[in-house]
Amino acid sequence: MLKVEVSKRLPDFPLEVSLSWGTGIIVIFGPSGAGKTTLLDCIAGLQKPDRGTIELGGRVLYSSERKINLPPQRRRIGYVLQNYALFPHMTVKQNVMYGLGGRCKQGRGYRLTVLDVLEMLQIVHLQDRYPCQLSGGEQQRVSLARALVTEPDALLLDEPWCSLDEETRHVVQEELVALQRQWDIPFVLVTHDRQEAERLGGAILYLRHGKQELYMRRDSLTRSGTSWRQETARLQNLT
Amino acid sequence: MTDWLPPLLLSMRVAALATGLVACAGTFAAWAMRRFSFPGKTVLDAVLTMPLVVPPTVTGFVLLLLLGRNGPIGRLLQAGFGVRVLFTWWAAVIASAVVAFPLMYGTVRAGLEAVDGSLEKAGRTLGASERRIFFTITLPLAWPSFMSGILLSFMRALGEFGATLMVAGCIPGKTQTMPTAIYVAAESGDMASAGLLVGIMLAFGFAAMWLSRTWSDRQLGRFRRVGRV
Repeated sequence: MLKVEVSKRLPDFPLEVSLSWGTGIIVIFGPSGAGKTTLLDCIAGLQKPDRGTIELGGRVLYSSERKINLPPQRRRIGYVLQNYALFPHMTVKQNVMYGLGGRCKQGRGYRLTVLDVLEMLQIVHLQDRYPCQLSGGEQQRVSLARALVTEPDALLLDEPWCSLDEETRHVVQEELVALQRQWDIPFVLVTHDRQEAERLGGAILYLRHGKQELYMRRDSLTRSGTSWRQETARLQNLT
Repeated sequence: MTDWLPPLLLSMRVAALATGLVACAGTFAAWAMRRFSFPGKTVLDAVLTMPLVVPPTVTGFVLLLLLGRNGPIGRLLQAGFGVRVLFTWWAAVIASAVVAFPLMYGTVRAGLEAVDGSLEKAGRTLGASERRIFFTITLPLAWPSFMSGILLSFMRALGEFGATLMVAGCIPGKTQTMPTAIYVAAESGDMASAGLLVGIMLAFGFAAMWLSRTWSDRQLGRFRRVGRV
């Protein structure tokens, strides 16, 4: 369970978000400059909120009240950054193994091998290549593999498909949904594409000027009788 | 004819030590200036770069005050270790290091600025310590600037004259470096000796530039293959 309740002053407006999410994909959706990346950075520990709490699976990652602010190294959160941020001077294999080296994974189990993860993402044949020799879709897979090999408790993805063409995008989106089912941890996906949000999200949080304007969950809707599609149509009016 | 070997060996030793000092201090300063923000950062940046733009004699004068018997550092060394630095070859090392520092600092800093910050972010979320991130991601990607910083600092330290003359003097066989030996030889009309020393320095300067050119070409080639340029 990922619980986020934070506020942070940004240059133009304050960011205020409150969400609580179990396993599945939650989509943070909104126009560019709405504070989406800042929110992910706060969850990952790369930026510090002004106030609030962040909890993951019962562990307190950040609490302004109790003066807790775990560094990103100890949060056990995987993060696929916007341009994948693959290390250009390392091969695919070295990239994927980076999170296992040093003392990164000290005191934690190794349930998976690097080969398992490479196989899962179908990039075994690419392991000796450099990032620049890969296509956009392949780079995205490597970035996912690199984050997952550390066996995180949650995965954050910041517009992971913005540089991909339509066809590849569909393929990797399907893969992501399958991957989420397999891993069974919260995935937080940032996008500014409404259809993507509608198709992938188990919940959607609409963010504009740092404000949480709408929060809807697929599971609560089926009970209330309205369809997800009807509900997400409201997003269209908002945008 | 002056013996050319002692000044050459001393110059090499002084320049090598000064470069070693500057490589550590300059790289650390460049890293710290990029990583942290604090009040007075621009002032500190200006101070660190100053030896590049003030005359070496000015640097020498300041060092003279600092290292002298009544200067703060001089007194500390005298009291703590019983060491006198002024007019020993160590003073030449310090003078060369101070003058060469801005070259290392500036070059490495530019190199570090060019490294994509999101790579370091990724490293952090993967659990790597700041130290590991620096040595496995930031520094390797800024390697060409690091190496050119080393080369520039070494050559600057090798050619250091003004500040060295002021704090180390020109004692033959003790603190006489190549540049000061050239000055003394030419001043006393010993043109043959001066010419020989000048020839050696010219050969060094050419070799350094030639090396740096071929090396940076190879680096460019490597990065092109990896697709960064």
